[in-house]
Amino acid sequence: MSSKPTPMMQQYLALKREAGDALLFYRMGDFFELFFDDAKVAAGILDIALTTRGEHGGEPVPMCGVPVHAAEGYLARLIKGGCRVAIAEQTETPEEAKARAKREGTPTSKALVARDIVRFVTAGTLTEEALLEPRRANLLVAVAPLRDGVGLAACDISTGRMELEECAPHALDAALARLGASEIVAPEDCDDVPGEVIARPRADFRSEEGEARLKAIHGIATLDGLGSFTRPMLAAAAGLIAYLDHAGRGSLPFLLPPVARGHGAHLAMDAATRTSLEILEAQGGGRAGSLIACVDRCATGAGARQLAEDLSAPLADRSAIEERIAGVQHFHADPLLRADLRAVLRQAPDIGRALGRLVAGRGSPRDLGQIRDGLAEARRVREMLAASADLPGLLQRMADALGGHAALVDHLARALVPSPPTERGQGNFIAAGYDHALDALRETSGNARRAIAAL
Amino acid sequence: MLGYFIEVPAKHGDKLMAADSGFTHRQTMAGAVRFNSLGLHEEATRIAEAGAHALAAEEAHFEDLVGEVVLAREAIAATAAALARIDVCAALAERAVDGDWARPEILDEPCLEVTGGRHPVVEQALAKGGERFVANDCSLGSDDRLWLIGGPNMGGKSTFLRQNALILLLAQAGSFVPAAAARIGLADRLFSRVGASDNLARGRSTFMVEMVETAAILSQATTRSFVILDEVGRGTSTYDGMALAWAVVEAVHEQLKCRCLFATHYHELSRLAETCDALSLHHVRAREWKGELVLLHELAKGAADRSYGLSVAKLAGVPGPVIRRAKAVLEKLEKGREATGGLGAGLGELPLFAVSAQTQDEERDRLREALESLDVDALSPREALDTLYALKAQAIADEH
Repeated sequence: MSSKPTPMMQQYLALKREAGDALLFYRMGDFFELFFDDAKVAAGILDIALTTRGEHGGEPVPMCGVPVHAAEGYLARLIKGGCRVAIAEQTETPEEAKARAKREGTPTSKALVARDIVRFVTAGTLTEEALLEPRRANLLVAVAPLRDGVGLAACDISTGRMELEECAPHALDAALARLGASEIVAPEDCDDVPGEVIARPRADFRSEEGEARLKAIHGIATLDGLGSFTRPMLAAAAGLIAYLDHAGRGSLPFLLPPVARGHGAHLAMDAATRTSLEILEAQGGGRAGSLIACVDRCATGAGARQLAEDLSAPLADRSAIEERIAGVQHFHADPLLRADLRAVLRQAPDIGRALGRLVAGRGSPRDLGQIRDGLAEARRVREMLAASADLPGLLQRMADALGGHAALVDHLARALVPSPPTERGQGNFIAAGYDHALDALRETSGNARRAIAAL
Repeated sequence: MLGYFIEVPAKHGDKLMAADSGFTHRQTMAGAVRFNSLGLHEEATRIAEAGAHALAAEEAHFEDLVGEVVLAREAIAATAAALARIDVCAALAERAVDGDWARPEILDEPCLEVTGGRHPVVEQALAKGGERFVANDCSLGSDDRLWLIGGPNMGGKSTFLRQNALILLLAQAGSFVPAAAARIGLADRLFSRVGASDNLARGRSTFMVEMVETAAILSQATTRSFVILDEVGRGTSTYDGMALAWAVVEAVHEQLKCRCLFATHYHELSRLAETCDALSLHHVRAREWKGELVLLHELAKGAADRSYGLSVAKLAGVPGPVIRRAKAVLEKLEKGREATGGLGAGLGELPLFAVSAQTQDEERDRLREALESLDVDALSPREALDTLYALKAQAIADEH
């Protein structure tokens, strides 16, 4: 009985050390395999067969696996089950591995394909349509308690929105209750943060670093133009960006310029008040029976997410409130406009999230199609509002923000087929007539039968 | 065999087998022979390459198009946000029409005047069963900012409290509200302590949780806040509970001076109306009809005429013998109350919370004066320490 681990096992164990608490999805051909305790945890949550493969230290190694093509569904369930998952992909083909072994002078028959963790999939760092709930924002929050206050950085990387705020230590519970984050990160030695928290090195939470990263990401020399950010806010931003770096293995998702949430701009409510009023969730858990379930008539997922935010953080500024109410009044008074507009909105895809995926480098041709259709619908909405008399200020400003995409929509419309596929590797998403050279290539490959018959 | 080939019946195969035919033999099968030719081979290669090139070309176009979208990302994100905001406005309008909601008037002074207010979630649930929600008015202002609400349990106290908090929340979120009309004074904070807290699961007692949450209100609420409190003190003994409820009402009235709806089943608290001038008494109405309790879910002015605890217990299905026994016990207790003046006896003579706090302040005044007259900048560390000793000695002297 040999106790020396196989090369594959050595590679696995090294990657597992890197993955830490996260379950390791180890790519083997068409499957992601899980081993040891990971396999037991995953098999339990996913209700799939737990088998064994080989031995390690004289014991059989527990194993389970999920097919790569169906991995999203399994990931969704693991994330819901409170897990984080590290994805280890093969970073070379078996042929490349053999060639490398030849160069290195090791036996090519046993050449091991190099693997690396390409991404951590965690509840707060999702962009995939299948893993996100359409009517709920998905927030990642970093908390940085400094001497004089607690900084909070919140972002929804599915749409790129980022918000920074500072609160007194005793108000942290209330702030976190308002945000309702999917995932919270905090410095490792800090136990002021309630609930389940991902501990990260304290060095990740340095305010100078936060300032430098934000400047670099947005290509600006100073943050003054974006708002006034305090040290704790910037420290939290640093922690947030460092965690995104870690989760994406160095590739950052889409981040919009941060917005500073001011003190006293909102109606303050603590966690007990939120639970008691059942704003987003009924006391038994779940959306049914909550205020939002009763109020929400939004035609789009993005609208529902905005409404949830509005109800979680009502305003405390009279003119801002009156502006919103005037917007509601406008549609209240015009049933025809309301019906037409909602019919158009119902057709509109979720361009915020499609954009998030495209900017994060996880986009598909379908996402491009959604941007095209969504921007086209936005133009129709704009035309409807333009035709409506006495548009109140808020709606006027929103209408203005809908336009300006004519050239892009036109380009996408010419370039893409009507409903592009989710798979980009299979082609067939560029429309005929867009690129004549491509048309000729397709003619050749697609019309093989005719070409051969012509011989 | 993969790829393209020319298949001919075996009887013609021989002709193509000839070396100069321009065809190469690939495979012989029963009854057929397969050949390849140079032209065919070239064409097949061209087809395969064209497929790969087409894929590569599409991939390049994809990258370009993504690049163009990424370049416009902030404008696209702004469009997405604008669509969401427009959707919310239209959806809230739709909801308002469906539920016959009203446009609230937003004011700066601390008031809360709701005519025909409803609890949207309860109303919807009742409507499913074909029942109608009983709407109620609420009218808090600076000279009547604390409503003490009595009446039987299950009579709609909690619902009334919650519906007013939700109406304020919806209004400040920019929505119409479930009421016939509403004038809402802006609030800076909203506190709700209604219904069981889920903290129980974490092993803290009901009473402890209740007190922690009450403490948070007393330390954080301002004159601009809106507070709803349900049955403060229910988690402890009658005397403790009533005493705490009494003190909390006084503190809300005298110190926080915020708008507050306070539901309680302690009859005795109604005596607070004698001393607190911005406090008024209300109750949810109930009537006994042919020995059965009828809950009207209607709010009326004045103190509850009596407690309906036993009737509610009967309504909830507590067995007859238990109810009868409880009645006997109650009669005995009530007789005792008449003799002693009851649980609330003597409470009317109790100095007000704020008054007792004030007397303390007066006692401390000498210290305060001494502190205020200090010129800290002029003191050496040594002198500072001496002064501190002197102040402490004075404080101890005042205490005795």
